[in-house]
Amino acid sequence: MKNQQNTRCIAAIGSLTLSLKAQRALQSAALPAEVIALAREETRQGCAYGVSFPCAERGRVKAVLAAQRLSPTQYIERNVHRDLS
Amino acid sequence: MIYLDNAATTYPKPPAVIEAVRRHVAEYGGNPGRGAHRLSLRAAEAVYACRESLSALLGLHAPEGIVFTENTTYALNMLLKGFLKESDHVLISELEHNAVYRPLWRLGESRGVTFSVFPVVGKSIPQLLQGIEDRIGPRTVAVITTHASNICSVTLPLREIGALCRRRGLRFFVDAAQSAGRLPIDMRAMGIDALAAPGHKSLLGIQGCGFLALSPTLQLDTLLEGGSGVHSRLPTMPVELPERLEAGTLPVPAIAALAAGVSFLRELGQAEIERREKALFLATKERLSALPDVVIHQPEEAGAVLLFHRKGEDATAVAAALDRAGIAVRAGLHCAPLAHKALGTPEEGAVRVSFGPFNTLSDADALWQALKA
Repeated sequence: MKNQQNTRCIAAIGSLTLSLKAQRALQSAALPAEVIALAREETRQGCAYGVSFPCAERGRVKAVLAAQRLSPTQYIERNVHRDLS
Repeated sequence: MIYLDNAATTYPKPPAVIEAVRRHVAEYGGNPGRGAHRLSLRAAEAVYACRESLSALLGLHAPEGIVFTENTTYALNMLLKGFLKESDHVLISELEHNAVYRPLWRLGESRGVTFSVFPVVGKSIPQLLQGIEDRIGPRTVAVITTHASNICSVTLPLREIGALCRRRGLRFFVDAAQSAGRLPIDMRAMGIDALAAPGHKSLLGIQGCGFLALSPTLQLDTLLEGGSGVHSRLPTMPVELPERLEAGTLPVPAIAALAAGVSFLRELGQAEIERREKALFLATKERLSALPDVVIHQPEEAGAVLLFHRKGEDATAVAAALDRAGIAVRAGLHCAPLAHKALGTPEEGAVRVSFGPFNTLSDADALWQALKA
């Protein structure tokens, strides 16, 4: 399996449903976004989800999510494996 | 078998619905929200797609407001037990199913909740609304109605009732078990705060899935607590919908089937569904009316359900004879004793004929032939 590790930003949301809602909204705005499980150190309350996106689009992402009344608990920057196959 | 019991569950299902179940089980049968692997995320996407479809169909426009349950009864219990407080008072219609009546009865025993019943049968819209107004008291918090009766084709004017509730500061809850997928519903335009429906009736999904559609302004206490897939360290359920009200594993194959059912309905069109139902009702009514001992209840209301009894013959005996003739109907009280009382049916109930999208006029002929024999 071919994959690549690169630095992405993550909007930590928590709820899987709301993360999928965020992904749909971002993709509708032509922003590449993927639902991702948060790492252990990124969530204090146990399993949680968010959306990863290119860090360069942080401003637009915030605007799109705000328009959907979605409020990420935090924004994180980390290396993310993406499947290129 | 000629299937005329679609109010119980629709049969047959569109091939795409059956295929959706097969695909889920065979190709991506993960548990949504219980991991980060591909099968889990694919299942999550299928579930979310169904939330989106239902939210759009019902005019809710908030996929997170679709909470999946195992059926309408569970959804109604979740709603009523999650909303009503000590000594609250509610109004219900005289056509309510036991899925509304029994939880309220139980809440009467456990929390002192009371309810008043407003008349519907034979009432004009202004009379019906006045019947609601006359029964509102200082502790009234909500009006709960069915959209379409499960024993006849009477429907309630949701838009007008919703407007009344807004004016009087009451919540408006709808049991759409017999209407979701058949009749147009717009929760925002109709002022509906919560709506419960099954996946396996007019939405053409399979048994095992229902849902509660919730306005974002409505907060409910939880009926069930357990695994939610997120925030596992918290001893309480998450705050956000829908996970707050979805403890445990979801019925994903049934949800996948429901999404396929909604797609099928979108292609067929609700107007076409209504047209077919009315044509079948009128054809059946015309034929049965010619039989001297058959009494049809509410014959002036044409729709998906026709209720009749045969003078001097027990309803279950009529249904048994029809079953031997290869025709499936349901006889008795249909879990709706209030409605039967409102319609004045015999003590043992009546025979219900309920049409679905795959019935044809030849089915009406066959029913008539079997009753004539």
